[in-house]
Amino acid sequence: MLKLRDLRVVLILGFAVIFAGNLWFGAPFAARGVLGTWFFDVDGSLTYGLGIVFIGSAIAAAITAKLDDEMFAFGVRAETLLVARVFACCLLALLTRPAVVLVEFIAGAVDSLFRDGHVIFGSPFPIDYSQQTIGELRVFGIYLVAATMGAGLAGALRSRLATTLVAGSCVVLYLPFLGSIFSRARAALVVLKFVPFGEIRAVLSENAGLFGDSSAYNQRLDHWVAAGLVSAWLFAFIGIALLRSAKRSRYRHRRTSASLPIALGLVCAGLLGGVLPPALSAAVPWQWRPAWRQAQSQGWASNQVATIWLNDLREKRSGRDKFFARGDETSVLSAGRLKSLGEANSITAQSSSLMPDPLHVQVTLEYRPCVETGNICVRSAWIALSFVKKNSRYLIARVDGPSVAQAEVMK
Amino acid sequence: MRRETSRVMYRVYLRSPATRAALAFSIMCGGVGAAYPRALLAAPTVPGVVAGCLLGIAGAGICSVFWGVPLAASISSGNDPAGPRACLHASGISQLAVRRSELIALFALSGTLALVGAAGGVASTIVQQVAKHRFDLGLAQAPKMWTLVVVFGLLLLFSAIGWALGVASRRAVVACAIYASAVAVTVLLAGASYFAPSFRFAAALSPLGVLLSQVRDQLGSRQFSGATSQLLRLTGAVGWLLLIVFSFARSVRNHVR
Repeated sequence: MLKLRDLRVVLILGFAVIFAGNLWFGAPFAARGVLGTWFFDVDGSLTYGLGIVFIGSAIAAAITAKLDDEMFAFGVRAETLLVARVFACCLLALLTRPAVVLVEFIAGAVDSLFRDGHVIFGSPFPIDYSQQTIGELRVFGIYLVAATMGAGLAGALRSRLATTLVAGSCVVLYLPFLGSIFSRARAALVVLKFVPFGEIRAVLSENAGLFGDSSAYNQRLDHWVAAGLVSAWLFAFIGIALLRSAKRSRYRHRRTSASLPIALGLVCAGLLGGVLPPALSAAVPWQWRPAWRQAQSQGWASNQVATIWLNDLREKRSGRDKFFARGDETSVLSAGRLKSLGEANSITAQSSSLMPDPLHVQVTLEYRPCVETGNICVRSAWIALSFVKKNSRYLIARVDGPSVAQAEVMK
Repeated sequence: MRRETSRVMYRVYLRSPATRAALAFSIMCGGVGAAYPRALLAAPTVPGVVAGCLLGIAGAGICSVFWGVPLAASISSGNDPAGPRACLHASGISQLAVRRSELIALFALSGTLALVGAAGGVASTIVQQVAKHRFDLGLAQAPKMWTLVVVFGLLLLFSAIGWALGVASRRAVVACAIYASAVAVTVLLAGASYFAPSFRFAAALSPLGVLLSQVRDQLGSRQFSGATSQLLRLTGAVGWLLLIVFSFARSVRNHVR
């Protein structure tokens, strides 16, 4: 099995990601040392290491399934072939774990060499070796479950491409960078509970969501519930694999039909149409909502109004009352404050990505040369504008400030 | 003759297992495309049926970033001695002509799969309309025509990248691994530029950096706000394109011998 080129590609890629992850992204502030990297690398062991075993087993089992027809001809039973394949995948898992630990050791050594100039063999933090030994045994166990699941998946799907896509998608859903997407749509995290790969991880850690050193995207799932779900998946995969093996041994030539993928696609598309809008629309950021985008396209978004109004004020243009909710500039600002705002040389309103909401904008005013007031010379100042929305336009309701942002004490 | 060759290849590819998988996936992507205005933009109205159809095409086309390259790579990397390429070559058609027809057939296949996304878009739209008790056949929430043009351009681009990678690497899994690594590197570098802004130059040089740099201007997020020069983006794009073209040319030369 280890001679399969596709499997080697998966192994090399996975080990490279574990190595790079520990080298650059594992510990932003201090080297963790050789043993420390092994102890603290949760992502390397569970997301990537477990992922290698799951995808690798699935691909290897799918490729070797090509031999089934010849084996059937020699009278080997489908059950025997499945057991042999599961056994081979478990051996692969038992070899992968030491390899993952070795890569973590090397990454820890190289990382400490680059950061501190010498190799740190231990760990800057105390390691509880009894806890680590128990944890390591559990990780070995979970790798074996992942290998069995991979072999079962390959047997059930009976297609190398489909197996690669399904196993790959299950693991890709757990890559740490997807946390930024899930933070936009927390409802999508619930789906992770039902992904076989996530349930395997939950058996070990009671967490079927994205997790790592600093992740906040947890989906709690009791050990026993997770174990039950994993067993259900395993039974389903192995059952389908045995049924399809028996069928295949009788009917060796079959044509793939387009009706099944079309029907499957349409059912999924319909479900997505029914589920996605109610699940995600509440989590859409205000910058993406129609009211804001419409106002922005018409030039009446709050930060645009703030910029245009202040520029008009600087250049003493008339007709500025239209920017105000009460239709009157002087009802919001006194003549003295208006004068001080109009003396600014440059104006910078907050961009929408930095605004807390569409109704509050902070504007920075720069003064060159600085403006003397009392015994200080003001270089820049802030004003805070509050808006109300009227007929798809954001209009100024209140102006606070200016307050000094940067000034020099005059001698 | 060239048209006939492409047509034959198109028909063969249409029946391949990879195309069947892409068929289901692009219909699902069409469904996501039609759900997009309400799910990700919180649009108050449900798309009309015609709009859903267009959104489905756009959704399937944009998602070709995921299915276009693996599909094209899995088809173009095949080395079956009884496959269409070998048969056509054996019947006297030159290797280069066969490869050219293969590329045209792949373009047609990708276009077909994007059009199939319309079915997913309609299914998704109808479910949304039923849930809202509102029926509309029109163009509410429809994408702009320019979006559809860009989408078809992307389709051709991803098919061409997948084809070149498949031909050059000769193995679908290697081609897909290279492409997936390129996507992962781009996303990682773009994310890392939040902490270390100088990473944005490396992100711009990565294969998908050119596409991402266009997207990040739209996102307006602080994470992607580091600007890179147009020259740097173009250098990255040309460099990667040359690498693919040279690998492909070398591969074809070896095959011809």
